[in-house]
Amino acid sequence: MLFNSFEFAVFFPVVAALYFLLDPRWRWVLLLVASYWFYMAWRAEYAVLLVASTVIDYSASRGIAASDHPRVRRRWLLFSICSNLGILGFFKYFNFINGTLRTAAGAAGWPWPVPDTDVLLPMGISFYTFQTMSYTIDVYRRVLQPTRHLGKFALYVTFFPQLVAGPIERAPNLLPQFFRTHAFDQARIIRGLKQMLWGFFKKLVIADRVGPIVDPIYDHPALHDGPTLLVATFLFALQIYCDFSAYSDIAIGAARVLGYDLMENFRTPYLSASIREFWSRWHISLSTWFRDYLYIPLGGNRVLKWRWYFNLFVVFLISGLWHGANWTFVAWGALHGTYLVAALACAPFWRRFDAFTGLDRRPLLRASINVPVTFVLVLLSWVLFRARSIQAAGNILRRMADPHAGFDGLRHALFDHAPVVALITLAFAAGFLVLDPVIDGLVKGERTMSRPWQYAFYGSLMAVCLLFGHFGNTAFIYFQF
Amino acid sequence: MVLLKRSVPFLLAFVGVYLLVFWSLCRLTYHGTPLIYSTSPVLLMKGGDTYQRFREFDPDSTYDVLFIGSSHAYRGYDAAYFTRHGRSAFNLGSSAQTPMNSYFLLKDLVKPDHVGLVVMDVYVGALENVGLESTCDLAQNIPSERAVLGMALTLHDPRVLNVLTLRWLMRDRGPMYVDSTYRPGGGALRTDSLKQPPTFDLGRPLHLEPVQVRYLRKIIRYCAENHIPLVLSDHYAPHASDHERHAAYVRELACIIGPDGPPFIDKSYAHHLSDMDHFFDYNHLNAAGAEIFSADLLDELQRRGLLPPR
Repeated sequence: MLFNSFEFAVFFPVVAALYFLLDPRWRWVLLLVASYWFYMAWRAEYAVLLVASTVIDYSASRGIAASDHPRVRRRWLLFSICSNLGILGFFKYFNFINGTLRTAAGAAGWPWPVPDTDVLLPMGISFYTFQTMSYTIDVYRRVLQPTRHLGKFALYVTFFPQLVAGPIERAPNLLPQFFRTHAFDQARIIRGLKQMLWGFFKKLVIADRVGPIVDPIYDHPALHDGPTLLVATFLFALQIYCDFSAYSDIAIGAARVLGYDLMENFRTPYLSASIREFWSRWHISLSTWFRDYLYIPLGGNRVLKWRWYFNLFVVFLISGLWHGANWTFVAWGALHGTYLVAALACAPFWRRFDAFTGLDRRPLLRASINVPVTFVLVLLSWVLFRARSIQAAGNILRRMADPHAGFDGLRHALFDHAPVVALITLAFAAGFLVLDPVIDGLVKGERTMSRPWQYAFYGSLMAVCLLFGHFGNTAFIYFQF
Repeated sequence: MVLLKRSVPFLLAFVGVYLLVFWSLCRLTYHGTPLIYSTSPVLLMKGGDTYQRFREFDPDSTYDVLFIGSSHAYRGYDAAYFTRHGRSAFNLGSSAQTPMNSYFLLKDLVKPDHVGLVVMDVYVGALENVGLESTCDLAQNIPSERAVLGMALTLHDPRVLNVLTLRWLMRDRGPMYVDSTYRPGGGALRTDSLKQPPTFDLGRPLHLEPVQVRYLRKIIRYCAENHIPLVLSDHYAPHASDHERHAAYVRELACIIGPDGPPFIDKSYAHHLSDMDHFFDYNHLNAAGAEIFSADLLDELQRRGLLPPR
């Protein structure tokens, strides 16, 4: 079920109403049934994978907790990790690996008899797999006592607001909340609804309006010149941010309405002054997952310098692969890894440069240089993320660098078909870029506004969603991951 | 209580801003067209063949034959031909009209005792469509409030609120454009032809919208209950189109209609028309094709005794 569907507009109020009407002891049952319903509205048969994931990690965590013997505990952990990654690997990476091996075998002149599978990628598999794995690892590390309550653990795996596209929750944060009673807190519900509304605005009015401009350009990059591709990439940066952060906002808001606190997933990432800062503001639940369960176990930064760089690079390479079974995502991850390693390697030079130019005493001036530079670096990486192949990405980057291209192509691409529609979309995009930091703080409760202004603002937001929103049940981009 | 108290000013603000912006966009124009039409593809302009058709249609008149259905109906079923041959006829087809739309039109616009026979075109595309496009078109152009409300509520789409608001705000305005292909009797016939072989995406899976299947059954039931003779029909299709898909559709349709349902006249491939000369696009008949089809259909209806007595 999509958040931006009519089904969800009926489903969520009904679930929320029943939730607060029900005896608190049985609310978890309602949420569990609702979560499975939510997932099975897409493909009922894939709920089996959710059940498998739940049973595997419940048994593994119980097995780990039942023994003090390190070898037994490790076996249970390996059982969980291998089973989870095995399922993820089969459904998400089988055809990718098979295709790569086929190409390699073909290049060597060998036959490759293994055919591709035609199974559908289960929605949200990367998200819930990482969430359940983190639980077992936490139990193994004795950070967490395993729960005996299979039902509430199943709810931790499937909790519908964040099931298919995160935030990737951690058991120490979410699981205990299922054991608490959540009172009908009106102020909290209003806050949740505000965040949901902001999410709907970003999805319907920005992301889904920008998408139809970006898609035809990226579908046929050879037909477009550098400035057009550059603007399309800029708009894609906006689209993916609005799309993904919208999902997180709706998820966090919906959970808040029901009384649950989910972790923050985005914090105005395009205002980052470095790639490192960008990753502390973009998809926070994933980057902290990789930090805690991959980067630190690899040794983190408490190793030799070359090994530190290697650890960072590997983490980003795998993070790229997590996003999709395509070399473009691997290259995207590798590029971000390279950015980070290069930034670390050059850090002493930049410190001296800042001291020499006096930028270290002018943080605002330094930010006004670093923020656009970081944004351009991120923008370049989005080319790899959005392009259909490495070759296509290379061609796009080459065209972008062409100094002879004029702006006629851009004008044709944007304004020939429906100029007013394009202008409205660009106006919203520009307005969003200016206002996002303010409104983001407002919906997260970090800023306040007098009540009449709030009514006017949120009333307008809803009116704009209805009038200018793109209602076409467009799936969220991160569903494919 | 706080929630309720706070939702009132919020809703007032929402309605106020919504109506103010909507009204302003209806007044502001770009190249003569109100800006409101650039906000969403579902907001269609008032006018065109649908407007002309539903202004010409007189529910108090008696018709021997009433055609209903998607653009296949008003492009391919020539009501004027029937009238010329002694059978008063009118075409109530409209762009992308689905069985859901047809049901509300029949129920709210047509008087059962004023119609001798309803011929409903059941082009597969109409049953594969949720009905948004057609509802938007009809909502701007038909006089019946009840029919529009019925269609809008069936759609389960928040955009219908915009569609209904536009209808309300434009209620006093005349048509914004005229369709030159419109002919008296509800048809809109084109004289151009494809002139090149049409290409088809063969092997596309068939997926009938459950809501349209439900409404097709409702139409059959409604007509039976109100003693309106009903005939389902599918007009000529280009020979190059997907025969297997059509066969699969006919099988599904037979299940929907049932053994006691109305007769189904399938003319899809029972013709010798040229794909290039008698169609103006990949599936619509032009005026020459429509005349040949209408003659064929009239013969068939007469032969089967489906026409009302004179």
